[in-house]
Amino acid sequence: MYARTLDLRYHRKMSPKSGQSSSHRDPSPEVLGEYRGQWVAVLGGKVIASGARALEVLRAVDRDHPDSRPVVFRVPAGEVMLL
Amino acid sequence: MTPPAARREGRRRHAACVYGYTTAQWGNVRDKLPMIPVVLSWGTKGFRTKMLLDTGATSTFLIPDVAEYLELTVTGDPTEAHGAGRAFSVRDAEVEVQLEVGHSFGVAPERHRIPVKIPTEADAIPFPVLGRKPFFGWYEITIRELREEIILRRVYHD
Repeated sequence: MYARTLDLRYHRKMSPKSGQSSSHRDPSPEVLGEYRGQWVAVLGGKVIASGARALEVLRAVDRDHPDSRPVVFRVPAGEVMLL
Repeated sequence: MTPPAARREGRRRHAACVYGYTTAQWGNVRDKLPMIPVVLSWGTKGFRTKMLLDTGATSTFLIPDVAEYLELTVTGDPTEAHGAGRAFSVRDAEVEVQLEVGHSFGVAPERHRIPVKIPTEADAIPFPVLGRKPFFGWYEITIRELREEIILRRVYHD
């Protein structure tokens, strides 16, 4: 039942420690940990911009890396959340 | 031999996409969250980001910074959204969202225009939130906490 739900014959084709888009790779958890709670722009596995607010990071990317398409997101910070 | 239509249907039924968690570690503390990579866009503006998958959120929420960057048009009067412990004010908008294709088995990158809620306070929510409406109506979602994976299986309604 479990195998049918997850369709493991497809799932097995996945490399074991990945799960991210081939065009996006997160930095290591230790590197992201240095930016906990901040917004980061990640390109090619590296943080190319960071800041306390999403808007400042997005504008920094537009200004400094206009031809790239980094992934901009907030790094988990270990806070207790109930949204 | 299987007819082409049945083969297409089979591919559609098995279409799935696998994403890893987003993990940060400092010292002995490790925090991981199920975040889905998406492209948010509106008009000529857009960017790649990750949204927190929240099975308890009835709607999809963006943060005000994102709405400002995308120049979203907010509509209607503020209404209340009930978070944990307190209510906060939100306004309505629309945005186009497209899943980033991770390890995909037949999931095409579809772009959807969806309704979103924008809190009026800057720090009302820490993350953009992918909630139940309308996202959960399109995908069977499997969260594999111990493997730190999210599996999305596209559901096609006839």
